Amino acid sequence: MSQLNRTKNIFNYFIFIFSLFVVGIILLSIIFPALIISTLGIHANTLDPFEIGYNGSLILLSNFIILTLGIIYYKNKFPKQIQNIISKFFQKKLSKKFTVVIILIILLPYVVFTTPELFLDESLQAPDYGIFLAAKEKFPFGKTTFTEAAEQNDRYVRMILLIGSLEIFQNVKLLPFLGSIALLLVTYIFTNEITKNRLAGIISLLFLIQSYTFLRYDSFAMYENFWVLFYVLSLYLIYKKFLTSPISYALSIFTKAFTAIFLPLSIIFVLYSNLKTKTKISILISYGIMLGLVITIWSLDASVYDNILRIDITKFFTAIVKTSYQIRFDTLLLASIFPLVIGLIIRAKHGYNIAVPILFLITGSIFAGAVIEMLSDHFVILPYRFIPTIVFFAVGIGILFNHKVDGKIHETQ
Amino acid sequence: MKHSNFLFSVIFGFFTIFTIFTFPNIDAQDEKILELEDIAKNNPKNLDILLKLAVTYYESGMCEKAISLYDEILDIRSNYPEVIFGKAICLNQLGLPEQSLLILDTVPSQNKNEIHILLTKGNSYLMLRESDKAEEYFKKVLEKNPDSESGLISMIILAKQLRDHNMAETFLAKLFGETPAPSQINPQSGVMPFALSFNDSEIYSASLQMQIRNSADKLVAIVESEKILHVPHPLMYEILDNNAIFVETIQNDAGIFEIKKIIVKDSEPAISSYFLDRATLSFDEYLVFFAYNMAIPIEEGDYTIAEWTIKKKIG
Repeated sequence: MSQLNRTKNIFNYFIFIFSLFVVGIILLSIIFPALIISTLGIHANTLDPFEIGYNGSLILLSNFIILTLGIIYYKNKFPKQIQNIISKFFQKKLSKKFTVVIILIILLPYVVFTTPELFLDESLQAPDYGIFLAAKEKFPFGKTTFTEAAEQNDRYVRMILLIGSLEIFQNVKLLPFLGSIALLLVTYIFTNEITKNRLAGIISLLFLIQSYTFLRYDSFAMYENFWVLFYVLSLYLIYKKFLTSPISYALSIFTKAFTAIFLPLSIIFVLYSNLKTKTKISILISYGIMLGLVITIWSLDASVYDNILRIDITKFFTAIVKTSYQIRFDTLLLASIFPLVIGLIIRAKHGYNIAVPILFLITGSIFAGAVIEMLSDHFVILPYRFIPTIVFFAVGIGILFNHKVDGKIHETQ
Repeated sequence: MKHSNFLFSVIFGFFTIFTIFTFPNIDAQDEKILELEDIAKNNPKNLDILLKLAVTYYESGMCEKAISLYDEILDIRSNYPEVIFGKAICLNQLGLPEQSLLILDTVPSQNKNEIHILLTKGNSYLMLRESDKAEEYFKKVLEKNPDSESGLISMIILAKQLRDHNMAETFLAKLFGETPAPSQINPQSGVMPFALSFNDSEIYSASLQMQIRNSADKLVAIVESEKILHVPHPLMYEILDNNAIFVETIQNDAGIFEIKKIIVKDSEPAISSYFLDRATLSFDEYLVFFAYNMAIPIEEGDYTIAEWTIKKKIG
C-alpha cells in the first residue's frame, strides 16, 4: 500500500511540476512576449527580450491579487462576517429545479444573442470553407491531390455533421452552434458529476460562457466544437457508462485528430478516478482497442497524417509561448491561471484527488498543442485549439469552489 | 431514465440520424437537367441525348448520376471513347483514380493517344502519387501540343507534389510568359496551385519575424515562421533580388550566402477581421510570398512590423 502511495505521490509531484512549468512559460510570455522567441527563435534580431508586454503588468498584478485573496480566505484571515458569507455561499446546496432555472437563465440570452451569427456567410468568415467544399466533393473515401481537403476528409464525423447541417438545414453553422450549446451543458454535467455539487457545475458553465475564445468560435462551422464535446463527454462517460467512453473518444478523434494526443490525459483521468481497479483496466484496454481501430481505419483509407509529420523541438517551446498570445482576450483565464494551479495543487495535497487529473487536463491540453506544432507544420494553430483548455479550466474553477463536505468522494480506492 | 443515458442517447441518436440523411442527399437539379431528363425519358435509346445529360450532370457536380448514365450508354455501346473519357473524369472527380485508370484501359487503341485521354490518365497517376507515370503522360501531352494549358498546369502541380522548384519555374514561365499579370500568379488566390514552400528551394531560404503591437505601441506578440510560400517564377526571383534594404554576405560550409533583411510596417495587418495568420511582402502589386501557422486574435489599432530575412546562395 505504501508503495502504491509513493508511486501516486511521485505522479502527483510530476503533474504539479509539469503544470507549474507550462503555466510559468505562459506567464513569462505575457510579461515579456519577446523573451523566449528571441532567445530560441531562428531569426536574428535586435529586439529587446525584456520589453514588457501590453498587458503584462495587469495580468501579473491580477494573478497576485487573486492568489493573495485566495490565501487569505484559505487561512481564514478575512473578517469573520465576510468569511462566513463566502463559505455559506459556496456550501449552498442547489435543488434540481432551481439549477435547471439558473441554467435556462444563463443559456437563453446566450442563444438569443448568438443566433444572428448563424446567418453570417461562413465563406467570408473562414477561408477554410473553400477547403471544406472541396473535401465535401470527395467525401468520404475519394482521393485528391489537395492535401488540405484530404486531411478534412479523414475527419469523418466532422464531415458528416457539417454536410448534414448544410444539406438538411441549409445552414452549415446550425449543428456546430447546437454542438457548442451541448458543450456548455456537458461541461456543467461533467463538473457536477466529479464534484457532486451543482453550484460547482454552474460556476464552470459561467466561466466557459464568458470566455472570449469560446464565444468567438461557438457558431463557426469550420472551427466547430464537436471534437471538444465528444472528448469531454468521453471523460464524463468514464463515470457513467465506461464502455461507451472510448466510442465517444473515437468520435472526437474522427472529428479532429488532434484529440488523439489527449490519450495520456484520459489515462491519468481514469487512473485517478474512484472506479474499481478491474474497471480501470477494462477502460484502458477498451481505449487501446479504440486507438488500434482508429489507426487501422486511417491506414486503410491511406490517411494523409503519415505524410505531414516531422519533429522540430524549438517549435515546441515557441508553441507554448504562442498560447499566451492566442488567448490574449481571455482575460479572466490569464488573470487567474496561476492562482488556479496553486489552488488545485493545495486541494490535491489535502486529499482531493480529482484535482490532480483536472490540473493535468488543463496544462496537458496546452502542452498537446505544442507537441502537435513540434510534429507538423501542416496545421495552422488557431485559438480554438484552446477550447478544451478553457473547458478544463472552467471545471477546475468549479472544483476550487466546491465546498461540499463530502468532497473526498472521488479519492482513489 | 438517468440523465447520462438520456444524454448518451440524444447525442448518438443525432449522430446516427445525420449519418443516414447526409450520405444520399443530392443537390436540387437545375432546369436544364430537368429538361434533358424529360427528353431522355422519351428517347431512352438516343445515345447523344444520354451523353448530353451525363455531361450536364458532371458539369453540375453530380458525378454519381453521370457515372450511372455513362454505364447505361456503355451497356448499349461499349466502345464509345467520349463516354469512357467522361466516366474516367468523373471517377477522378470522386477521388477514385484506380477505377478511372481501369476504364481508360478500355479506350479503343486509335483514341488512346488523344490529349484529353493522356491528361486524364496523368491526373489519375498524380492522385495516386505515382509521379513518374504522371510525368510520362503529361510529357506525351506536351509533345503533342507544347502550348497545352492543361498540360503545363498539370506539370506545375506535379512539380508542387515533387517540391521541384526548377521544374515549377520552367513550366510557370512557359504558362505565364516572362511578364505575367499580378492576378495570374497571386499565391493567395484559390487553392494556391502554383505556390511552393520557399525553404524547399536549393537557392533561397527565408524566415519571417513579426511583431504585433497595439495602438499604444505596446508589444502584444512576436511570432516567427519558416513556412513561407512563393510562386517559383523568374519574375519572383527578380523582385527578391531587387528589393534589398539591407544586404550582408556570409560564408559557411554550405557555401557563400547573401542575406537580405526587409522590414515592412503594416498599418492594416488583418487578412481576416478576426485573426492575423499570414503576412505578405508585396512589390509593384506582386505578392512575393506569405507565411502562416501563427493565427493571433487582433483588435482595432493593432499593427505589425514584419522583418523578412531572405538568404540566397551565391557561391
